[in-house]
Amino acid sequence: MTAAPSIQAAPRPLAERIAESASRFRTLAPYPAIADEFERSVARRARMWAPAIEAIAAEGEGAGDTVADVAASWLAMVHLSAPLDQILDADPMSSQWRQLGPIGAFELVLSFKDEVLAAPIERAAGGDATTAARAAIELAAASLTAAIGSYFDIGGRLSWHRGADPARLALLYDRIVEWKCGVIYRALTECVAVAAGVPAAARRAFAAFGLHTGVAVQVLDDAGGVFGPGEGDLDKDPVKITFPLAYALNSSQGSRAELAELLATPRSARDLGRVRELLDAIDTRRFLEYLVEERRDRCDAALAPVAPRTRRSLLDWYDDYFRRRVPA
Amino acid sequence: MAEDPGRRNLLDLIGAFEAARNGAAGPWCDRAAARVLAPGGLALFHGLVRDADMVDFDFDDGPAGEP
Repeated sequence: MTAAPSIQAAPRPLAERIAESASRFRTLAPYPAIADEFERSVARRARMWAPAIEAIAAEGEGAGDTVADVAASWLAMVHLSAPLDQILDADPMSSQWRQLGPIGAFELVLSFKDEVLAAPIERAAGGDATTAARAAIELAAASLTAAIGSYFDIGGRLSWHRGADPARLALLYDRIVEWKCGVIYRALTECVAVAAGVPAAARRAFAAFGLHTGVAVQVLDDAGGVFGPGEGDLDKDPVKITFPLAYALNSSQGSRAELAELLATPRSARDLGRVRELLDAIDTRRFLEYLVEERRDRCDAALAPVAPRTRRSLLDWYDDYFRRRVPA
Repeated sequence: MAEDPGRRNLLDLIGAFEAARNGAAGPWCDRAAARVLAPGGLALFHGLVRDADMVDFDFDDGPAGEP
């Protein structure tokens, strides 16, 4: 008697498996509007990130269940950082979070954090639990670093005022961005590599790829804060240093003194049109694009020696991501 | 995070970009500046910054990013 041929179902797309893993979190369940918002956010981001996650995991044993679980936890950690940022920066929040009030929102975020950090370990079976635990430690370590980085950010140390030293602030901001944003993205690429059993040298290269990508994400965020519609970083009182302002205030060209004075002027009297004119006069947008491109070169330099096969995929993904050609 | 002894800080990058903007030939990191300063560069911002799509520009959008 011959054995019946096995029928194997086609593997489900990684983005779907990540979204399914995230749908098993329970902390948000009592808040349907927040849970729905989370589900949509995760589905969208999972589609954006899945090609990069798959490319990294392919350097090891591929994107199995533990990879999907740690990616889901990472997406949850990124998602829950948003309401905290919005409370601390007094940015607009969705009505469902506003209804909780600042303390209620903080408590919900903290409970959710506990669940998502433990989930990959609780869901892993046998030997995978050790791998999942190592990946969860990467997530937890990155979260702690980001919290410390955010402390500098919100503690007023980046505020612009008359007499401030633009070079010192630029250097501080440069480091804070790595601490509070770069490490978050590094945690994703690193914990995916850990979960997929990627060899150490390639894992370090993927960690560097994540770090540089994270910094570039902040560059894009800062671009939106200055050149985007609606209230942005130039509407704050006091103005905080971000990449475009760090460039303009340290540029050897343009009207630095006028810009410095405008930015130190209270918001009610600040001429934002003139600020943007001064920024455009010294090609500030091109400088921001340069920062994104320069980080791409650093990704290339990190990946080329140890992951030549994956390098092309990740650099293509990087180009697509920053030009919004990835599925959203 | 350990400090990378060869890392270029933000002031180095500002200097490199300005040198490239003034037409100076520079070290390897200026290649990126040459790309964005070339005619047709600025691909990142084409169709984004002055566009309605900027509403969705914030990659860190979360709960505030209501549909």
